[in-house]
Amino acid sequence: MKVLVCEDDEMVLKMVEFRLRKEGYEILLAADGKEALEKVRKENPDLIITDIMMPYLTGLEIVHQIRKDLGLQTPIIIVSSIGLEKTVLEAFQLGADDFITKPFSPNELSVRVKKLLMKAVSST
Amino acid sequence: MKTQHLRILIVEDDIVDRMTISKTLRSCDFSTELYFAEDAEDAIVQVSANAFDCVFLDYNLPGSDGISALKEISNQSPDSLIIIMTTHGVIHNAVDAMRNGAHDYMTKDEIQKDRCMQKLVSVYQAREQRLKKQQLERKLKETQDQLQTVINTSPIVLFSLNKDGHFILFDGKGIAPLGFQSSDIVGKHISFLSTTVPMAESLYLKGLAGESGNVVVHAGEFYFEIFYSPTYDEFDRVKGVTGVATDVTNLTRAKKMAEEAAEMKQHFIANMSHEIRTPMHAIISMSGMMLKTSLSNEQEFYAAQIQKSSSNLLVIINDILDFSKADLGKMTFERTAFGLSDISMQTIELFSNQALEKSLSLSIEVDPMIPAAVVGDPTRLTQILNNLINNAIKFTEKGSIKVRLMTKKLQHDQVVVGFEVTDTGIGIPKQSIEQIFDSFKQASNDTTRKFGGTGLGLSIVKRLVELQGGKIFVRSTPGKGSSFFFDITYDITDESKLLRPSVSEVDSISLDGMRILVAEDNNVNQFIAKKLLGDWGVEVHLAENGRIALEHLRENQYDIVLMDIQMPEMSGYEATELIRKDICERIRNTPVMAMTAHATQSEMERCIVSGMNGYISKPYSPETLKKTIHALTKQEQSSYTEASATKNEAGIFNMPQLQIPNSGNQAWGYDGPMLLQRPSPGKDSQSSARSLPINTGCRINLSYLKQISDGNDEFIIEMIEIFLNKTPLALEEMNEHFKQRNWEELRQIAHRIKPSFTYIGLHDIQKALGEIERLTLDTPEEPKNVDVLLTQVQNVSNSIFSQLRYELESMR
Repeated sequence: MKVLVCEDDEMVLKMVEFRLRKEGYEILLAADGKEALEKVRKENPDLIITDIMMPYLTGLEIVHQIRKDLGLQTPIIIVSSIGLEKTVLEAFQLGADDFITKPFSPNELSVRVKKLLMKAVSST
Repeated sequence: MKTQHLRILIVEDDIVDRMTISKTLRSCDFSTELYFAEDAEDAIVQVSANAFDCVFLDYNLPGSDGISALKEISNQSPDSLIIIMTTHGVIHNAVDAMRNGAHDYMTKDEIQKDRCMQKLVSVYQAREQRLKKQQLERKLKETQDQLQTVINTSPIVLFSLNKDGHFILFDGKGIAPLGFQSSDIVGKHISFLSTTVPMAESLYLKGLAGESGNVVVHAGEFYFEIFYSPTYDEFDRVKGVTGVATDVTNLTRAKKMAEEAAEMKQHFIANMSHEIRTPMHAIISMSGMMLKTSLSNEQEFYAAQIQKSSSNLLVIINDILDFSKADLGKMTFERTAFGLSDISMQTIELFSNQALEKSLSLSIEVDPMIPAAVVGDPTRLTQILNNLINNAIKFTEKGSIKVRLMTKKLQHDQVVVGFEVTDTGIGIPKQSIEQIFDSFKQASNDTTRKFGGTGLGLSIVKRLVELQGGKIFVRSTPGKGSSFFFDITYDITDESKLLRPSVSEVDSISLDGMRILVAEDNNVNQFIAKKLLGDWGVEVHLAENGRIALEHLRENQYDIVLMDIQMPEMSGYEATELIRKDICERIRNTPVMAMTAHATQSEMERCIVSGMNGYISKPYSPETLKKTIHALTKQEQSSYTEASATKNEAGIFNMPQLQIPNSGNQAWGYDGPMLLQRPSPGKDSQSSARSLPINTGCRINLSYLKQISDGNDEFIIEMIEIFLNKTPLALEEMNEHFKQRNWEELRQIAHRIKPSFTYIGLHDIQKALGEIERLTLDTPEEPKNVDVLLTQVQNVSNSIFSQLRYELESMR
């Protein structure tokens, strides 16, 4: 399973990578929105985890482009900080599947990832 | 054909015509039965006596005109079909007659076989149709009657509304409780019901919108389950709404009562748990203390018996509680790293004396393929093995008991372990083997008398296994012995995760010199805690309730607070919440351990929410008390596992603080805005900076990173390096933006670097940055206090950077 992680905070990025790689996922990293979309096009990941606040393209724009412009149904988890609940709602409206608030417990992240991937597999 | 039999009356005064027609009719392929009348009067007498299928009626009869004769006959016998016979050329008479109800006509010159045959076929068909219609009508009536019976006798209301919302049908015995009659409602608008059935109108509108559904609604003190659906006209347009409402008041009430009963049951269990455990705690602890004093042999025997019996009683009580929890679906499982063979061996060891007493051999065999460390619930495994081994010993008089652990399936990260407990005991009779796992069932009632026990053990074992995703089954030969098999799937983990405090380790723990506050209202429990702790060299202070505990905390510094939950005046929860909100950092940061007799899940949750760090459940063993206090007071909490604890004796809430937003925010931080907006007592900004409650002595805490990485040093080093690389730059940038008054840029950086501080345990700084973020949001002017906060963050960060560098050095 290929998971794309888009996050500009290096610590968070490393943490997610470390954790998910340990669980056996193949991890693709993107440090900004542009890179994220390129990787989505080229690598077609099975799941996308993206921060909301990102350089060039925000997480919302990423969700929008993946759903509308690329027409992909890849599950998307939004990573948000406390206080951005409104934005999370917007993300859901644009087609995000789940969200997690920073700082998050790694167990929670891995459970959410697993859950979404299973849902995606069973619906195809 | 018999069915083609027709009974016909010929009304004709002319003898020639009469003969002609009767002759012709006879020649037709119909079985006919002919009757004759010479005038209208005679005809009427005959039709009233006999049911005729058909009447051939001459239009020109003596003494009457054709039309009135026709009318009278058809009045008398509406089912008879009348065929008018007229003289050739006077067709208008015939037409007139047909307008007045005649079935057909025939001119006299047409009286010949073909013509007559046609007429008879038509009569015959008409008759068949009539019979069919009658039959259908009968059937319809029958159905209607049945339906009416249902409506009249069942607690339902049948209703139908037209497009304007008026009732066209409202009927059924279910109306009675509403205090209406059908006639009160029919013709009324739906809004007429709005006070009785508030939901009615909205359901009607839903139905009108083409929706159908099933809902339970309130009508006064009654409940109705309403099924509604739209009705359609011939063009498939919605023309109204129809449906059935069923009175489900009794059902709903019964369900409510059952739910209440279940809830009461749970409360009762929680309560009993408390009521039983409190005295048990005194009995077990004090008999233990008594055994340590100098006693005569006889006294020692008695005391030992008291302790042994009360421990056995506690096992039974725990069984019952567990059973109820499983019954209510409240059973929880923890995930801890533990050693399968260690746990199994330890369990076996507990039974070595018992086995020895009965001269049984007790052995264990562990498949070497079994991973050294797995993740799962060691306490529950112990519980399962305890039950099975205990049974095995109980039911075996001579021979052996063997425990085996086998690898059934080994994957990269998971292992399915098969467990087997085999004895050479009395075995289980064939007819009982199916029920052996049922609650309250033992092999026979004699078993209970002879061997004791609650009969819950195996039922709990089965649930414990199944709730962990496994299966259990038994093979047994009466007189030869039994084997219980079960399997559980565990995640495999690294052996380095195992840090188990062994018994000898407990001995090496020293609490000497600690100062501990015990908040507890029960004198006996006060005494026990004071005695145990005092023996270990601890300075013990007592508080009768939460309020007094807080007073003590204000005056003295304690290493930990042992907090009873149920206390008069102020409960343990309230006291802990106040401690976590206290303005004084020293008080805020004091660890609090719940001493609870309620070992229920909801109890644990309340402990976490109120901000407690761990718990111990009464009755506790001195060892567990010592271990738990030690674990809660030393720096590295996360390395503690409760692998050797059984029956959920104690635990530490290992959850990172930030997973519980509300209480977590208050747990370690300051009260943010409130304190900040308070006028500063000092005159210059320096003194106001000092009044800000960021602790300049903040210490980093790497337990979160360790938890994530499972103690992988390389990962932690990398994270620290990233932090050290980017944070000073970011802080510098923030300073620059502050000078340039670029509030938005300042805010963005604060937002970005905020989480990193939480990863190294500096929640105060994370909060301060959050506050900066809040203050700089959409502000054109210089926001107050940002300068002070920035300086604070800067100062504290410098100390943090050196701590981190030191940490890096030591890790390399």
